[in-house]
Amino acid sequence: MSFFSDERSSELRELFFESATELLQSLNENGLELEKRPGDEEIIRQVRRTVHTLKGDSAACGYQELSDLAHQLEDLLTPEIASSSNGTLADVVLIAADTFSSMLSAYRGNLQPPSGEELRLQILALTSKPSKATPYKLQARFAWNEYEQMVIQDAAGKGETVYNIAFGIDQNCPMRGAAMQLIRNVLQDCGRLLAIEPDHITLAANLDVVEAAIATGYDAQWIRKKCKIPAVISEVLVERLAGPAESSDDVLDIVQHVTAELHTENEPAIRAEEVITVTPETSSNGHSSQAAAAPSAESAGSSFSNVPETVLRVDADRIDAVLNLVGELIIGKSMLHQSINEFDKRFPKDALKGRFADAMAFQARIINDLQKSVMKIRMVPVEQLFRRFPRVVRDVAKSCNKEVALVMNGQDTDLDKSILDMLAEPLAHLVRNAVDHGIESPAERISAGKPAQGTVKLDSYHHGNQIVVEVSDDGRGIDKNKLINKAIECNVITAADVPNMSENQVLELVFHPGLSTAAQVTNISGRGVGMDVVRTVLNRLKGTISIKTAMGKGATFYLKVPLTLAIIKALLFRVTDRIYAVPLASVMEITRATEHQVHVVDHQDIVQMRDEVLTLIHLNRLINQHTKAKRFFVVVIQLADRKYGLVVDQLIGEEELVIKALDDHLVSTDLVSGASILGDGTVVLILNIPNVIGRFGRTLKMVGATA
Amino acid sequence: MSKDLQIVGFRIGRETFGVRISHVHEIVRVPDITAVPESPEYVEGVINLRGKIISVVDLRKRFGEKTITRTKKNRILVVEVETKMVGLIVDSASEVLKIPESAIDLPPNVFEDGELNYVTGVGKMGDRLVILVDLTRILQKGELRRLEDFNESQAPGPTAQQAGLSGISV
Repeated sequence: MSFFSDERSSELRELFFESATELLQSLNENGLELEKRPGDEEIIRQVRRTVHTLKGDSAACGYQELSDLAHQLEDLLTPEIASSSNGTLADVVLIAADTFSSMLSAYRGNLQPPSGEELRLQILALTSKPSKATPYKLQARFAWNEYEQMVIQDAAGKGETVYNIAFGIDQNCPMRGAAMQLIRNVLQDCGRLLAIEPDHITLAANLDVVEAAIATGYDAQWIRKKCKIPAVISEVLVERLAGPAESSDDVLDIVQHVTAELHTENEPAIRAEEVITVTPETSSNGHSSQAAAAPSAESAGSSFSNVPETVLRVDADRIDAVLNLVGELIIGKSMLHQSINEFDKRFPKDALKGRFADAMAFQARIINDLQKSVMKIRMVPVEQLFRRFPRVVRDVAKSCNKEVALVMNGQDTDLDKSILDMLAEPLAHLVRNAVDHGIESPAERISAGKPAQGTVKLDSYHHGNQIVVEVSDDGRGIDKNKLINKAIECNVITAADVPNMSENQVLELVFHPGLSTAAQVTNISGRGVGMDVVRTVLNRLKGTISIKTAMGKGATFYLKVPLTLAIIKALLFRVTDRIYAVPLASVMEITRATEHQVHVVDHQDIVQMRDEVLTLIHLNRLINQHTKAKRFFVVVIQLADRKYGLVVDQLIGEEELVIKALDDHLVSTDLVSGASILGDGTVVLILNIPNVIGRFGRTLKMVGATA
Repeated sequence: MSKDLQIVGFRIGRETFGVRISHVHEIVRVPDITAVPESPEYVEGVINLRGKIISVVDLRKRFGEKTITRTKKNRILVVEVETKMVGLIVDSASEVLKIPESAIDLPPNVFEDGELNYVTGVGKMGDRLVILVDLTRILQKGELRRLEDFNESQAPGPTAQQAGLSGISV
C-alpha cells in the first residue's frame, strides 16, 4: 500500500537514493574505522544509527529486501559481538555496504535486487557465535524497579529466603512465549514469585534471558534442578539474596527507563531485544550501557534529525539552468557595452554618456557577483571525491597483501561538481595503480630500507585558475627502461627513437593504450587501458596530467583541471578574417615575429625565442590556407614539456567566454572544444589546443616526409 | 471537404519544395556564418540564433545543386532534428501554401528507395508541382554518414586525402 501518489512517491524514492548513497558512504567510512579499532563502541553506535536509518527509509519506500537485511545487520551491531568477532564485524559492515549499494542500484533501475545471500550468511555466522560462546557465562542484571525492590525487601525483611533466578532460554526453542509461560509455572511451583522480567508474554517473542525473584523455602540446589526445563531452558543462574538487591544504582534505572519507554514504541519486540542484548555488559560496566542505551532511544525517536536544515538538496539541472541564464546575461552585458562604446563615438559630448557608463559599471558588477555566486553553488569540496578512497585503498591493499596507508590533504578545495564527477574514474584508477603497481610488498619494502607500510597520498590545491589533484605513492617508482622496452615490443616506438626522447616523453608512454608494465593482468589493473582513459578524461576536461617519478622513491601524478567548465577566460585573435579563442590559462606569452626569424628544421617551421625553440603551428591551416604572412604574432602555448607557437594575424584581446557545446553531429570535430558568442553577436570557436597541435604539428611532418 | 495542409514552400534552383509548417521553427535571413574546421562540405558552419549556436547546412549543396548563387533572397529555415535545431540554407522561402490533402499524390516509386526517400509526396498547385519533403529525414545521422561515405568513394577530394594523411600519422 502506498500512501502517496505515484509522482510523490517517485520523488520520495529519489530523495531516498540520494540520502542512501550518503549513508552507504558513512557506512564505508565507519567500517574502515571499525577495522582499525574493533571494539570502539562509539563507532558501532554510529554504524547502527546509519543502518537503522537505512532500514527505516528503505521500508518507507517499499524496498523490503533491503530493509530486512539492514534489520538483520542491525542486530549484529553490539559491542559484545564486535569484541567477540575478532574484527570480522568490520568486514561484515563493509560487505554490507557493498551489498546495499548493489541492491540500491538494482532498485534504481527497477530490477530485482540481489539476494544478499553472502551478507546474510556472514551475519548468521556472527550471530550464532555468541550463542555458542556465552551459554556458560549467562549474565543477568536483576535490575528490579522500585516497586519490585520494595516487594523483595519486604520479603527479605520477613525472614524469607529470596533468590534471584535467571533463565537462559535455549537458542533453538521455537516458542518463546510458551517458554515464558512454562517458566512462570515452574517458578510458582518453587515459591512465591516476587518479580519477573519481562513481565508480559508478548514481550518475550525474541527473548533470550528471563529474570525472576522468588521467595521460597527450598534451597538453591533444588530450585536449579526444578528450573531446568529440557529443550526450553539452556541455563539457570540462581543467586541467593540475603538482603535488598544491590544492583539498584542509577545507571540501571536509566536502562530500565529506556526499556520502559521503548516498550511504548511501535516495534516493541525489536526494542526489547536491543536492550536485552546490552544487558550482559551492564553488570560488568554500568557506564557503557548508559551510553549505549541513550542513542538507541534517540535514534528511535528521529532518524532524520542528523540532517542539518540549512542544507538544500537541489537538482543539478536547476542550477545549470540558472548558470545558463547568467551566461546569456554576460553575453547581454558585452552587447550593451559595445553599443555604449558606439554611442560614445557618435555623441562624444552627450551628457547621457556618463549616466550610461555608471549604469553599465553597476550592472557589470552585479552580473559579476551573480556569476560568482552561481558558480559557487556548483562548487563542492574535493572531499566528496576523496572520501571513497580509503575503502578503495583498503580493498586493493588487502587483495594484493600489502600494507598501505592513505594520507589525504586539501579536502576542502572546491571544484565544479561536473568536473569532480568526471575526475572520479581517473582518480580511482590512479589510486588503484599506486597501490597495486606502485607500492611494493612489505618484504620488498623492508629489504629496500623502507617502512613495511607504504603510503599513498592524495592532495589537492589551487594553482592559478586551475585545481591540481595529486596522487603520489612512496613505492618503487616507474621503471623507464621497462617502459621503453615494452613500448618497443608493442611497436609504439622504435629503438632509434629512444635517444631522442626526453624523460617526459618516455613517461608519456604510460598513457599509451595497450601498454602496461604489469607482468600480470589482474582484476585490479594491468590491461593497459586505464591510463589511456585517464588521459582522455583529462583532455575532455581541458586539463592536463603530468608525472614525476624517481626509481625506488615512488611516483606522483599531477592532474590539473580548470575550476569550471562553463565560463573561461580566453584570448581572442584573428586568423585571416576569422576569430578564434584559446583558453588564457594555456597561453604562456605572446610575441611578434617576422618571416626572417622562421627557420625550417626537419620540415617544421620553428622560431627561436630567447634561448628556446618554438614549433610553429600555422592556424590558417584550419581553413586550408597556406599563405604565410611577413609579420605575425606568435601565441606561445606550453603542452607537456614542449612549447609551441600559434601563428595568428591579429590579436583582439582577452574576454570571458561562456562556452556553448558544439556537440552537434553535423559539425563535430575534435579541433574545436566549443563555441561562444561575442558582444556583437559573432560566433567564435574555442580551439582545443592539444588536438590542434597534435594534428597540425604532426601532419606537417608527415607531409614533409612523404614529399 | 478535405483538410488543407499548411506547407512552407521554398525554392532550390527551379523547383519548389515544401515542408509542413509544424516542422519549421522559423525562417531567418542568412547572417554571418562561422565555418567549423573539418566539417563536411555541405555544412556551412554555425550561426548565432539569438544566443543559441546552431549549425547550418546548405540544402542546395545537399540536394546536389551545381551552381550556388548567394543573393539577398537566400533564407535559413530553422528546423528541429532529433531535438536539436539545425539551419538549412535555401534559395528563397516566403510563401505558406495551403494544399488540400486530395491534391497530394504519393511519391513516385522511383523515390522510395535510395537517396530520395525523404520525399513524402507531390502536391499540385494549379500547374505547379510542390515536392513535399521530410526535413528531419534528410538530416538524420545515418543519412548524413551515408552521404559522407558516398562523397569519399565517389570523389577522392580533400576529405579522402585528409583521411589518408591521418592514417599515416597514426
